[in-house]
Amino acid sequence: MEASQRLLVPGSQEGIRQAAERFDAFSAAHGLSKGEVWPFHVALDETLSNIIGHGLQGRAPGAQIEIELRLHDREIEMLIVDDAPPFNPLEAQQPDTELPLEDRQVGGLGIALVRKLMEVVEYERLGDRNRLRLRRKLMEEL
Amino acid sequence: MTGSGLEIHEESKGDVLIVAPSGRMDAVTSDDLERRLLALVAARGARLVVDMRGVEYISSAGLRVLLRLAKKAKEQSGRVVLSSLGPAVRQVFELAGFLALFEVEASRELALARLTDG
Repeated sequence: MEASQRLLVPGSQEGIRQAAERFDAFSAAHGLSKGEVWPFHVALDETLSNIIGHGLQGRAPGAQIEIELRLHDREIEMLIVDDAPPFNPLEAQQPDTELPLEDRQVGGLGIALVRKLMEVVEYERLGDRNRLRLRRKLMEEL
Repeated sequence: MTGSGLEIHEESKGDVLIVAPSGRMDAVTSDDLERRLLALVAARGARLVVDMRGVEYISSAGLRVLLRLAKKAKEQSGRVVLSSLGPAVRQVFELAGFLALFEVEASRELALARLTDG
């Protein structure tokens, strides 16, 4: 099983919606079930939200985010590229998931989830672009 | 299903409100979901079962909605019990430490019983 696809979505809330839909189309085209691919949906949602909410905030409309999907054997890799200011999620602070409800900070949780759900999370700044590579095996369905 | 959307089914059992979101609880759906859930709590009371059976997956945006819902319910001396977490939702709850934050039951009936028995 081998396939790849390159997507370009707007750097806006609409872009997150489009990315989810196009990921659906990609996984459906290769016979992957929702139970196998949900971690990629979560990771895509978190990563794009971060880029749009922080990196691209205040930028002129028209910013775009590039996503390369690659399916190889039973593994999917997503490469997410944006031209926002440098941001390395691997250096972001981990939230305390042990605190009681009242004391819980809601920020930072998304990146923590991505790091826990993915087997590989690699960041590099290349030229004026952030490149985040996320990879894992398809989820085993229960 | 092209499915970036989320539907919310609601019904009442006595003074308990049961809401059952169906679809994805993510950055795309969370604003609308939060608005609707908080409006429901304001209008119909703060004792709630959130039946998660129909939730395909949840991201941190969806988790934040549940946190705010629980805080709102608590402010109104109410309570939220979640039920029927599917494997994807349960795993995200575990990773985020949310199983310790919420009352979670295996089924809607058990969640209802927990709210009605005090």
